Amino acid sequence: MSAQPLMWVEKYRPKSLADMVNQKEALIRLQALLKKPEDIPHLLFTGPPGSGKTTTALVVIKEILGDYWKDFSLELNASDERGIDTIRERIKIFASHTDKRAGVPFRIVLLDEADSMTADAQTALRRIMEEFSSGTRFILTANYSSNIIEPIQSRCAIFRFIRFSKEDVTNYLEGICRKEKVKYEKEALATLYELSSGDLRLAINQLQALSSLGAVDEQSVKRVFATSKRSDVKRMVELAVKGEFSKAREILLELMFVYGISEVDILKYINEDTYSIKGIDHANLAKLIAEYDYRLIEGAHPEIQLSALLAELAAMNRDGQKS
Amino acid sequence: MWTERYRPRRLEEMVGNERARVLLFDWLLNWKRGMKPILLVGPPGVGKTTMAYAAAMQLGYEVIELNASDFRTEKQLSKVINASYSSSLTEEKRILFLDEVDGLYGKADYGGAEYLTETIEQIPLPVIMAANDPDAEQVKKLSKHAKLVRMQRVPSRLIEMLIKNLLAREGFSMEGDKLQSLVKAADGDIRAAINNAQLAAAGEDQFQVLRKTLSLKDAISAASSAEELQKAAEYLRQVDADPDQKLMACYSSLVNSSLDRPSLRDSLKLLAEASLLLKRIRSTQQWRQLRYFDRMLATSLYMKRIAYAEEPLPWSVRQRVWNDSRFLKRFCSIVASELRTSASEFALNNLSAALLIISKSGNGIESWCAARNMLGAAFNALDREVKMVIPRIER
Repeated sequence: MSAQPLMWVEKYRPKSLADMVNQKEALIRLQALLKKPEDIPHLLFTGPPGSGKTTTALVVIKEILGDYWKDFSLELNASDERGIDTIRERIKIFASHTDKRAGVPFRIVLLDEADSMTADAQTALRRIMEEFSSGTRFILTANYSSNIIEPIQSRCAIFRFIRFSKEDVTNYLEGICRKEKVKYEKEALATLYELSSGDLRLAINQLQALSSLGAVDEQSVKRVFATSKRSDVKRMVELAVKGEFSKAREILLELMFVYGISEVDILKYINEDTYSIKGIDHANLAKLIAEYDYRLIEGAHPEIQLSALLAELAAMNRDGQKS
Repeated sequence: MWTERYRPRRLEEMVGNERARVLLFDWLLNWKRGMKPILLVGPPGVGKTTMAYAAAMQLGYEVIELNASDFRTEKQLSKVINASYSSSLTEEKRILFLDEVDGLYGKADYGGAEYLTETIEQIPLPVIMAANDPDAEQVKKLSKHAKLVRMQRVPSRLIEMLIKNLLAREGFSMEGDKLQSLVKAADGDIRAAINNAQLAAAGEDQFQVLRKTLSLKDAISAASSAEELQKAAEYLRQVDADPDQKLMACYSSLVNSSLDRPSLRDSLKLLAEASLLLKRIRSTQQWRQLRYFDRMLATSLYMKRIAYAEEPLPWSVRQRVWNDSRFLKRFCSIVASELRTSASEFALNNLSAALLIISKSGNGIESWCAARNMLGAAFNALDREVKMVIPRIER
């Protein structure tokens, strides 16, 4: 056994289906499939971040491939090079090994966050899936199945993962606290759940950060969330609607160019954070955000798009008032 | 066309840029494999192409000309470049002439620009490249891998003599002040001068200012203080820059201005739409639509009376980009991969927590960096980030 991983997210990642938190519906269907592993189709796991998609994929891989899972599976992370040529090359090399083992029905490729690939890349991926399907199965994960092109969807058995419930998350966090001997307040764990919107990875990570500073109480939970870049997005939106365009834009540029956060992610949270703005024309705002999202998909210049959106937010608020 | 009829065949028949001619001739005469290629940079119509062809002809080379901006992707570019020398069954000596290398885009999804910078020195032929804009990003990059030869506008008195001579050979003469205004309009551009002379000989009295180029800087301030929209568009058309550069110049000038919010919104909205249009023009190859793109840019500047600003990023952000961004991104990509999430999602939600965890773990950030060969500047950048985060959590 190698050394324990530093990050609790890894350390407490379930090793078998039995250890998994909830997602009962998906798990029951999966278990049924696993009874005849050689018949398993390609799989597509969809659901929000931190809902157990990748964990389930890793568990499935280990259940099917047993002790040989390391040699017979290939994991392509979202942070890996995702150019379609790279994917083809790596899969080709991986699939071209022909050594067989008893009890190993096929090789498995895990492609995380397949929905971050462009439609063109997905079309190419579909061909790759076809090309190598005799000896290789694919497991894809995605936040939304609608971002996966239909020809791929139709070739996969789709499993939908739902946001974890408050009970599931707080129970899991309590379990970790006991094992790690961390002192915690129950309300703090509830707040952790709220602020991480059911994202278990995020909740565990924040919990570990807090524990490394000492106690897990409600105030420190709030403070640790306030330091995340996610809350900078919120600050940016607030500044923009106050008409502080330059200050808002400065945060935008920092998120994009200093931290490498994608424009699509930023827009996703701009959308969430504008729901609660008062005294603004929400009908127009929704159309507006949709239009900018569309342009990003089309490949227009991201910095110009998001700057323009902030300028629209900044002027929107003023339109109804005296400037 | 007079410009073709009178195109010099030998270097000594050319006017202006004497030093550049000598340099190019000596380089080609002594060329051996492994020598750096030549990069000719200068305004249009001063003889970059003519010079390359004349030198080649005099030294017995065949020219393979590629307009680099026609091949924007790495694949296309590598195909034509490889074909230019690998298929050489004949014994002819060849040179590769790459025109308009400043028209290559540096974007990752095209790859042509990177490909050229990386491979240019490996091409086993003499390579001559030409570009207009010494400030283009691509030219700056390529000049590290090439011998840069600057070419200047040709002095008026030389152009005057040339045109006089040429008109005489065609059987025309021209009054002194008319000739001078023709030369002045050409502004150092020989091709423009010859074209105008041919027009004048055909009875055209008004000299068009052919391809008179404006710098981005002048064009932006002229367009934003023009009295008519059409004038504003005219100024932008006179810039010798690709559409992306124009778009970025309008954008950086506008965001650095002190326009009121509604005006700024209207202008940025237009630029955002122009950027979408440009993307569409590229993917559909409907270049005619560029006229609407230009018009949108002109409208975004019209009556705004702003100055040109080159840099879209505020100083504070730029400094952090220089000092910290590559290390923070590297950190994000490494830990994100361990936690099996995307680097962007990680940076948004988990970065500060992960920095905290690692810095408070037994070995700290320093040993994390050491294990990944990221000491020095990388450690400093991550440490700065930690020191920004911790005081906000600890009380």
